[in-house]
Amino acid sequence: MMRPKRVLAGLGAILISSWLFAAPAGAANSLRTGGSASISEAASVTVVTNAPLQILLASGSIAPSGVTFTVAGSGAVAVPGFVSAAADANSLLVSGNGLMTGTTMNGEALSVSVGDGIGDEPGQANTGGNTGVKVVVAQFN
Amino acid sequence: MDKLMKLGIALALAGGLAVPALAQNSATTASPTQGSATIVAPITLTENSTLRFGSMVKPTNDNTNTITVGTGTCATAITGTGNGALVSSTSGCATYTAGGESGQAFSISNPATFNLSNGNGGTITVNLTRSANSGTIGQSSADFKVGGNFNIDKNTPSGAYTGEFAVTVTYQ
Repeated sequence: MMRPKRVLAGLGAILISSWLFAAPAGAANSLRTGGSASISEAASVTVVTNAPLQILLASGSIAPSGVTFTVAGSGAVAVPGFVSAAADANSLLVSGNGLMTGTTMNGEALSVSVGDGIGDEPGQANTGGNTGVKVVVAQFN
Repeated sequence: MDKLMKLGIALALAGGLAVPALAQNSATTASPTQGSATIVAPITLTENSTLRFGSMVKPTNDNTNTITVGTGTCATAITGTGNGALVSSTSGCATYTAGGESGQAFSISNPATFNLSNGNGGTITVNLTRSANSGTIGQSSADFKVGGNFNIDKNTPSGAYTGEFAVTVTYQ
């Protein structure tokens, strides 16, 4: 037989426990965290029948420096590869080898130019660069 | 046996039973009941960084890309057959530190999903993941991470997306 005082003590414990668990003010803590993402519209730069550009890039390679856009090839065009971690987010390069005819570069490019990567002005094609390596320079916003 | 006699016997029996009950009751006074209490510090939760997926270019083909911020290295990755791409930007998972009573175990909870909105009608549903379901205050497991993933396709509206989700830690 349960002794009355133990019954009372048990009931008291239950009541205290109920009170404790019903007031979890310090037993839980919550906060709201921010999440973010930025999605950009793709702008395409398609190299088609630009003879000087094709000649420039026919046998050269595109110097690696960084990437912020994708490059997709068509037909027999070799698709340039990618490198990550661009050094300058405002002037980024795509890297790889191959013909650029029919190649489409998708990204937020404001302008695309060709040069040897050494002090070339945007929009100027330079066939006599010091390195002999042709680069496609894409300016991004 | 008449009714009065039966009643008398019944009362006598009841009285006999009541005596031992009282005897037992009086005996318990010599055995004091133990009481105890443990007071712990309130649990706290500190956000060390938010969940940042960074910048990306949505695909132009008909396929989908999945953007993921894992809870391992917290790096952003793009997968899928879409031709979208990541843009160099700051990204990372949300990180937290739970505080309170050292050695006290706690559980972690968060919603399975939350929405990012671009403020222009565009909404992205993010699936959340976390590095652990529980931890212990004062130990390395008091630090935990929350990552997530979402899909983009060519119809995903462009823009800067933001949103919020709740994370809760509770003493176990």
